[in-house]
Amino acid sequence: MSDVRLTGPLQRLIEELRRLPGVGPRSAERIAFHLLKTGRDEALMLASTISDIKEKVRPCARCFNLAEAELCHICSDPRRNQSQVVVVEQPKDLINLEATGLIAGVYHVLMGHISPLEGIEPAHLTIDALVDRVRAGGIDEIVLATNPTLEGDATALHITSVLHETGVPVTRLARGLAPGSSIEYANRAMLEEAFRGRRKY
Amino acid sequence: MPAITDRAIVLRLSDYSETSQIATIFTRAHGLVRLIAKGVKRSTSKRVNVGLDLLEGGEIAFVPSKAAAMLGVLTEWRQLTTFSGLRTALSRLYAGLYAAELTSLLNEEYDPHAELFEELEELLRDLDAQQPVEPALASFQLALLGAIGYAPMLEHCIICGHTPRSEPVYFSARAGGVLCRDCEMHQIEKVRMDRRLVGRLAEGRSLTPELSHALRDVLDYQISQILGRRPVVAASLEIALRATGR
Repeated sequence: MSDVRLTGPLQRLIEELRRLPGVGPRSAERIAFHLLKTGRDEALMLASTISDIKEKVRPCARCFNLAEAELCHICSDPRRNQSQVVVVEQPKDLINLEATGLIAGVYHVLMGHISPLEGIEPAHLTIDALVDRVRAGGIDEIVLATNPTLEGDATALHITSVLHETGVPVTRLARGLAPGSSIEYANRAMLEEAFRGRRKY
Repeated sequence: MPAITDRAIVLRLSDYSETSQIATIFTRAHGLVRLIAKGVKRSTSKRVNVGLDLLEGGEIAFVPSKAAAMLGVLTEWRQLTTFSGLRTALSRLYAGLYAAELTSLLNEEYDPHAELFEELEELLRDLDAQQPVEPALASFQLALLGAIGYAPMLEHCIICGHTPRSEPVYFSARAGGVLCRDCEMHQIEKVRMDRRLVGRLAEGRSLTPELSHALRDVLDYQISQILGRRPVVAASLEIALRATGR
């Protein structure tokens, strides 16, 4: 490769962009040159937005969702059913579930899952805060919406065991075939779960 | 290079990108392989029938790596079992993960151990079928140590060859077995062990739950000495065994 030297700030921008997920060297260069070409206001708006998310976005004090105030927009909404708590692994899962428009309850974000092989233990997650929340009262159902993976199931098992003494019913999202998928490509576990969870049609 | 097909168990997964993962997989005829599974997290993936998960067994097709430090490529995965009974208790689940960690740490890539593969499969089947955890795990650990050339001598003193008749009895990982009270002073690295365990093993009798636990303690100690550290899943497993039964 020829020794093409870019100006310091541009080179630094390319290097920073390359650290973003899914951005390779060519994409980083394209974005950097686009920003160089674009108007000053547009570029500064992007910089200020990035700065805002670092300064203004923080975890909700109750559910650990992303929030701009002490409580997130879901926890502070009086129309939400505070007695049903849906437990998810990360904020991205919450956004996906919220997009269904089906959930009237509130959430609890664990900020990950238990992963013994990676040394991630229950204490690294927000499980203690969930237990405190349940013990404080006013919760009638915990819905476990962890991923249907071995580590998601380990997390769900752990939560079920620590909440056992509270007597609050714990439910889990249904599993099985995804709409739009094909039985031909479904694996055995999906088919087993789908058959066991079949409903009257 | 044509793809190789084999039976396999998934030991470890780590994210590589939004949709791809790096998988450590134990195969029956080709040993441990590290593969890149491209697009495996995409729900429309046709190569892999919906995701890869830890401790699932299946049929694999892969192109092996061209050089030692490189990854092979997973081209197809057909899930045959998830050993779903593991997911009913943390002690079973952690025991499975502990076996996966030991298998990936103590085996070399592309060094086949078909018997060990069968032992791992049997352990996962036992855990799935709600068999007691510690005897099944101890049996797998003994098979693993045997496969890599570290089978411990647990029935007799490794130095004099006699069955220890009196306390104290020790185990030394460096010596590779039991030390009786007359021979133990020659070995600095050692740990105290239950003499009843040696007697039972020498007589070929089955172990009580208490002695199964004692055997696992000895094997865990030996494995930690070989690795130079305690496996990361060991602490979680111990907590789960204490809480939910052995």
